[in-house]
Amino acid sequence: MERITDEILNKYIDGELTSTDLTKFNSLIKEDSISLDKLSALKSVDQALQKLEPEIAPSGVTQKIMKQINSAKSYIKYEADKKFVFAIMSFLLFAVLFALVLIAIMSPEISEVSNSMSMVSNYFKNLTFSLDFLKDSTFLILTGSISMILLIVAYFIFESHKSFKQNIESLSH
Amino acid sequence: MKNFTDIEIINSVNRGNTSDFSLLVDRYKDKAFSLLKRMLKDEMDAEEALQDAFLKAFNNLKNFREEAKFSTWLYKIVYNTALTVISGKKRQIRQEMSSVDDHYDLGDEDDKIYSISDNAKEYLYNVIEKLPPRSSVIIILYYIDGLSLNEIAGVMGLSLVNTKVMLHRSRNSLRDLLIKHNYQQEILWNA
Repeated sequence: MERITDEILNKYIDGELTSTDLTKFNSLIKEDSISLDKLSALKSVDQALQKLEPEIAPSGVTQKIMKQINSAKSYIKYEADKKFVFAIMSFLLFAVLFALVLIAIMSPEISEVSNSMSMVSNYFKNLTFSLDFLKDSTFLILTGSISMILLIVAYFIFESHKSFKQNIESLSH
Repeated sequence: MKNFTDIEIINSVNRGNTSDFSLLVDRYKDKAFSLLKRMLKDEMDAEEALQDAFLKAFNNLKNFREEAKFSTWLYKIVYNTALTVISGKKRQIRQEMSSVDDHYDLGDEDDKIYSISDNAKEYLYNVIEKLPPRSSVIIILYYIDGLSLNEIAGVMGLSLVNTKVMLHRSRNSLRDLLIKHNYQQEILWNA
């Protein structure tokens, strides 16, 4: 150690000087009034900083935080319930459509239904609109399949929107 | 539950006892608030950031690794939350962020602080309130929270050397201000 620098003064305050350096430091500081002044000031700073008190958080902040946590938990449960109901409804709708398709293919009484449908379709034919396609089993299978696909697509769109929303919320924080 | 360690409380919360998280909030809210208030310089902003920080901590509790101290992990969240608030605000952004690695210079504000302070101690504490955010963080974590420089470096995402340099620079800046007003002996006499 040739001379006392700011780094050495800070090391002295932090008790990081070796015994050899400390001896050298003590002899140098006696001859260096500027460094002595700096050391006094640095000691003052260190002492004052050690007496710093933490701020007190506003009252009721714990309750506010816990309220937000509990609200978030309730929302997640609500979303999960909603998703479950949606899945059940989709399944039931698909089951009904599938049953209709089976009836259309296998039922011997379908011709009576077809006759009624033809009467209706004739009525609408007068209005230049035909409902003959409704008695077609192929049509029923097709619409059932399309409905199922649409429901599955709607489900995935709903899920991806939900995760996108969650990502946006986490980014905003 | 009040005398349990941080890890025991965390394990309890992760098992589904959400209400136990309030024990961690009560344990760390004052120190976290200190940090935020000194970084954000505004009590309302600090309170809002405090709530955000604890919510983030709760949501990420399952990701907490027991090798680290919970306090260090929490302070990192608090610190990053404050930085997010600062970067979102338009006033003094560039000034606050640019003084991170520079010697702190109060300029005209020093005269104002000196004139309103009755004694050396009051002057010093008023100056500390005006420190740039990152300097404040180091001072608070080192002197109030008793973190080691290694832990502080982890919280702030800095190297140990940089953290040490920033602490020394903050102290040297305060020291030079005391010398400027010839206050250095007064604080020592009144210690």
